[in-house]
Amino acid sequence: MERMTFRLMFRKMRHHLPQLIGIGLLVMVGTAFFVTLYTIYLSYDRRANELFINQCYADVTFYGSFDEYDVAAVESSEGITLARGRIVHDFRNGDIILRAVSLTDEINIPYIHEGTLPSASNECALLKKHAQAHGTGVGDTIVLQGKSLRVTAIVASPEYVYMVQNERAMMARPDRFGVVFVTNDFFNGTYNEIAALGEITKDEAEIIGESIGAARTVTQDNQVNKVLFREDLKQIRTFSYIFPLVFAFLIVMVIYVMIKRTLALERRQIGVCKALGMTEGRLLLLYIAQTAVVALLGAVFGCVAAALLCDTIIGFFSVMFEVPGLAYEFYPVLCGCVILAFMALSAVSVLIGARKVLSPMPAELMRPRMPSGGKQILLEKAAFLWKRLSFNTRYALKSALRNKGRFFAVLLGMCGSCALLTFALGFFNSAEYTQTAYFDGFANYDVMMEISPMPMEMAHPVEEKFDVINRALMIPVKIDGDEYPLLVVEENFDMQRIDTSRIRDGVLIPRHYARKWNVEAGDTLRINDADVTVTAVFEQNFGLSIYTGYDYVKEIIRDFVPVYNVIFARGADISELKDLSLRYSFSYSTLPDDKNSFASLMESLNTLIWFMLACAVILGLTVLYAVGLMNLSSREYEYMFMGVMGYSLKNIMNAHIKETLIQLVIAIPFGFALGYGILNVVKTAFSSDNFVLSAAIYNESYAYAGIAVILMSALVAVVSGFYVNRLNIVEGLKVINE
Amino acid sequence: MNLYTLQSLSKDYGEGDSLVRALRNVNLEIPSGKFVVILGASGSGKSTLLNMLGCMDNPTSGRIFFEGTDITSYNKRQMTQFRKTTIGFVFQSYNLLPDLSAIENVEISTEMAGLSRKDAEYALALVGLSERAGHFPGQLSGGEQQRVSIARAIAKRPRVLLCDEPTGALDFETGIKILEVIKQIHMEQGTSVLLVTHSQEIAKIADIVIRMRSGEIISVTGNAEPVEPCEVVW
Repeated sequence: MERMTFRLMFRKMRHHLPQLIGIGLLVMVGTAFFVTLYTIYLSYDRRANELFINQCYADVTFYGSFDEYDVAAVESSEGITLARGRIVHDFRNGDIILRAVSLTDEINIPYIHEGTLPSASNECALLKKHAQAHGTGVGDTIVLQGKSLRVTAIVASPEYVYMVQNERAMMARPDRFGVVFVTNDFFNGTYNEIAALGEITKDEAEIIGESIGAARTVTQDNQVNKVLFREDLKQIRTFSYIFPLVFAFLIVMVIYVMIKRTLALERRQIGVCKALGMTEGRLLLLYIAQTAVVALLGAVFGCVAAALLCDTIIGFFSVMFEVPGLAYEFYPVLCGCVILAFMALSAVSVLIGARKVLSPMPAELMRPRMPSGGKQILLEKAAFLWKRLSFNTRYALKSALRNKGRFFAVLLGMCGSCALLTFALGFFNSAEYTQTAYFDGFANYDVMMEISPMPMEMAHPVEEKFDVINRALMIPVKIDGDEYPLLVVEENFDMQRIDTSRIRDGVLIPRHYARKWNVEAGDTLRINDADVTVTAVFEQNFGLSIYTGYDYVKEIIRDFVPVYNVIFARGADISELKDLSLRYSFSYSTLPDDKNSFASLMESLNTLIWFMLACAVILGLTVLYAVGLMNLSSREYEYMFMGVMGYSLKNIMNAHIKETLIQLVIAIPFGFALGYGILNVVKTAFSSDNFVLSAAIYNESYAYAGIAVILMSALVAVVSGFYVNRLNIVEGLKVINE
Repeated sequence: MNLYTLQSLSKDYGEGDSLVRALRNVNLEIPSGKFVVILGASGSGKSTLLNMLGCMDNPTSGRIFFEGTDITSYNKRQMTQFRKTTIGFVFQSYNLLPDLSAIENVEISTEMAGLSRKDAEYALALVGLSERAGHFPGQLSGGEQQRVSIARAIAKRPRVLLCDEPTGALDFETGIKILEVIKQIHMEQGTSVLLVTHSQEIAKIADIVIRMRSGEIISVTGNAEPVEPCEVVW
């Protein structure tokens, strides 16, 4: 761009500075939101994978009872490069579950934050999150099964990026669950796990597992820790796109409206430039460069804001996962791409708005524009109604529809802001609703105990301690090559609200599975090698399982022996459970514990919700103000003329407010619908085989979102009032040529 | 060779009931190096003709030859190039870019034509506005603005200067000064000048006067003894 054109570009920018600042602000917030979350996504992916690789996260883990021969057999198997036996045992101490894990050389190596790994049976390494929750440090002592252990290291583990006990448990609170790494001689007895490294498929791993009599074989990709990692990555990435997409759409709209208005005002100047020999391309560049410069500045500031915000957001994500070294990292390619994308977006918006306006011949551009032909609006055709409206109302209605571009830009600003507010509040509601739906609606037990399998005719000693119990059998089954839990229950099962009358003739499946497998009630589903009937589909948010009865399960599993390995119970003092679990050696989880864990997890999302709400308000205010100002300046002469005719500020503002009301009446319902739509997209990303988020937006959230948009519009109307009040009638009428 | 040769040139605006025939079958030859005045009342088609000659607009039919080259066959890029290098425009309402100072308004034209800042400064000096170079159009009087407009037109040393009612928005004294500047440039630089006006008096300064009415040429007459601008009274 030549020097004068460059200078002209910057000087012209002064004329629509508020709009340009608005565009810059939208770009900045959109960039900050996207870069923050995408940086976290990239950093988390990178750091977690580094942890998995550097600390030799086991590729496959076999569960059962093993000796050294089994370990050797695994190690000599094709595809396996290294195998180690270990003992893992959960100890309950009051409300706290401590999982003791014997250290294995070269596999699942703890990452040392501080200290050195234990070398004697009275030493241990403690997982950082649990240590932090209890203020435990290196040199302190913890008690495990009556033994005092000196903490020699605070560590992270590739297996415990997430504090989850097992596939069916909720994410545990770090103060209630911890992992303690001990030396092999802490335990006496046979191994209950073999961890192995190697490049093998799931099927190959299962063949090895069968050969050593493993009860379960789990590859790294199917470990709950890895599954949660993958799902969180997906969720963070999905979240990163939503707001910037809405912002990008509105940026295009604001630029389009602004450029149309600017070009209409500068029509004659454009003609002059063309008469002087300026090409259309150069003229286009002149206008593209203005918004591109603003987009560049906005995006750069957005990247800087992201750098400042990242660690705060990582801070609240760290409630969910812990990866050493996870902190803000500068990704130049990401920032560069975002900056270029926003610049390109602004350029395309100008191109769309300006291409046609710039193409006429100079003589045509320099002639005064022909006034656009007046047209009746739809309401005018209803003469009976139209005649009854006041002049002021008729003026407001016609004004609203006079410039469709600006009208729709304001409408979209209101709608977008309302949608994002509805979504942010709705996301919070959904978490609350999901919690209530499961813990107060679906689950009807106090405690769930996992015991060693027992024949149905034998009663477990713990049963007599409770008022009501239900037995069930939890077994893994295969559907489309993947394992899913099948819960076999008796017909009187009432610990979870499922329709037990349907378990005789088939299986009941959660709606999430139904969508995933594309089946409905009445369809046939292939489980293991059997075709079974789906008798019902129901809503389940946590611990998703397929349900069937003890009679029908024989259709799925040949030679089925009726046993139970799960006891659901209610109506007893659960404080006794600790002693009972030690005495009868079973693990258990209580509903209040799970509820608390989920509630604390949801609390950590508050920061993100506030971040989203702030973005939605910025979006609404910016669009309404930027487009509103364009509206005002384009009607400046009209308002001044109305002033000459004796219209008071009140009359003018009445018309202005009526126009805003028309827009609000249209925009708010669409905003609600769009917000609900966004929530449903996010809901899908947030749902997995372990957890399903139910989309719910409470009435008060709709009310808050609507009120917020109305308040924003009111604020802009007040500013407009000041603007109209300041108009100088005499001076204004002198400059009517543009 | 003639500067311009026009063959059956017509220009229509609008269509149907609102059709306006601005130029009707104009045939004309304009020699090179002359001071030509196109004279006519408002709506006679003189400005439309000037726009056609400057490649500012496309004719509905007919041809315009500039020094033997058919400029009506030019594409957009060639028309832009023609305006940039060959034509200088002076408009009735000055049409300066309000965001650029006087010197910058001239410089934008020289820059596009690949000339230097010195050419812009020289042109501004030629119209006697060197001291007001840093002022913006809003800070200049009407006469000063028109002089900047002339400087902008001549700075790129065009072959033809097209002036559309250059004195139309000015008072008498200032108008005379502007005509003097245009005449001076014509004399000193040998630039062909085509000046549109509705004033019979101004027509007296021309070598050739083309009279128009209702989109048609009604006469082309030569002035044996053109008067000096300072002798004109209107």
